[in-house]
Amino acid sequence: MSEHLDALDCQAALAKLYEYIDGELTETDRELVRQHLEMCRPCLTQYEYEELFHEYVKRRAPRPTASDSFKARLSQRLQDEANAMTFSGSSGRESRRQSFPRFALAASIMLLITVGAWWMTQNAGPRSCDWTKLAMIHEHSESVGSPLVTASTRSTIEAVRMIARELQLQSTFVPRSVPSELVTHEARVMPWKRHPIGQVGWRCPSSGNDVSFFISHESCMPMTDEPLSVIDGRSYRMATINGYRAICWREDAGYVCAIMAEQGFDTMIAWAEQMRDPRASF
Amino acid sequence: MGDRSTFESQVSPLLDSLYRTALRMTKNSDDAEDLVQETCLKAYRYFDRFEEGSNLRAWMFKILTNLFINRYRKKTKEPTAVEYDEGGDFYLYNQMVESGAVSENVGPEKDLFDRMLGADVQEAIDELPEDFRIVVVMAFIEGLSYEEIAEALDVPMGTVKSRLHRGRKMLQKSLFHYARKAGVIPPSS
Repeated sequence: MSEHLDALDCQAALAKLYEYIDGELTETDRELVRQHLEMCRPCLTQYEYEELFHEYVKRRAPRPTASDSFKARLSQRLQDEANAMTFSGSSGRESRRQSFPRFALAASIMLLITVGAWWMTQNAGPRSCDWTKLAMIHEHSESVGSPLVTASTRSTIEAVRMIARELQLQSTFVPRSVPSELVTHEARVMPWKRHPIGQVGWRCPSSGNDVSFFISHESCMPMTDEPLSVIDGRSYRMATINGYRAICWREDAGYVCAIMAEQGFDTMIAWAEQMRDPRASF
Repeated sequence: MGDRSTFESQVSPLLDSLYRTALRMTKNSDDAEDLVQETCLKAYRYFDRFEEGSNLRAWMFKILTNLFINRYRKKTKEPTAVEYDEGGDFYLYNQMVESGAVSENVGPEKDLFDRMLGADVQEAIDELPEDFRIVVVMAFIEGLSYEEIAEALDVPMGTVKSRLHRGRKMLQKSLFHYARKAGVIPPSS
């Protein structure tokens, strides 16, 4: 990637300011804005002001939840509806087991990592994926208020992003260079149905945890009911995937998801292997 | 095709978010509950048309928005309490710098808005014209992406961006207006 991006002037940078704050710019544009803000104190002040206002609104807006009694009534109402549909004979199709779409199967097994790089979609254009199933497999009741992205997760994110930049996915993949302070396990490509998936395991030196990360197709979006964190113009979401906390963000090529997994990398490889065979059961 | 037997578990994490949005749309908790309930029932009935693997949240928000527009939106427009002359881009920021409230060299103080504007954010949001209120709520409070909002409202991304852009300016202006009326900050010259 070229190091000499045409710099933005103030007008151009400010035109993208709100999108930067909302984490909606592409990697390239995000970097351009960030570079301008680094060099231009007045624009940086304006960014800080707008960011502060954005944060103030989010913080001060009340976030009520629906009452338990409402949720109970709704559940009952859905059940009534289901019964009504059964009696009218329209449930026949529902009970038929559909073959899981690629992602949903991946989700129910999960985990995974892949390593990132740019992966090609085949055939018919972009497929979207539903990460809801991933998050939904485990309902978690973690306490609200823990910081979404802390200093340690930020350095994890940086390291993962660095690896993603270093690696290039092809039909077989060879890691070019890896930061020397990180220990990598074997990196491999695993074709998953129509989408090749690259996979790398990496042990975080400070925590000793194995981290895997994965790039999805660009139209996929991690779904979670947790609020977005936007840091330096990049938006991060936390999600829980099969009980593991994951940090997800968007690169130009797609969404990256970094999962801290306690299981060793070998276990994840085995799961990923099994993912390839739809007849495998867990 | 969505699998109805898993509908409830898939929709359950979205309920609070749907409810809050419905509340800002209808401004009334009974109506909001009805709206969410109708949304879920409709989604349930049409779940076989939902493409498994696509964005469920955007789909649900789309159903919610359509139901709101067709059933709950008041036929007459509400009068807006504040004049929405938004001024140029970054008009308020420029004012703040000129008046010395924000130093260009140092940046804004962290408690700037808390000090100056207090906590009337909900009221200011509720005062926004509906089209702007909906995108502001979806983006800032519920954390939907531009793409999701565009899908939910069935409008182009450019429309989402411009409504958010203007919505932000309106919010700032309206909050400052209240603060001036309350005497918290001096009236503008």
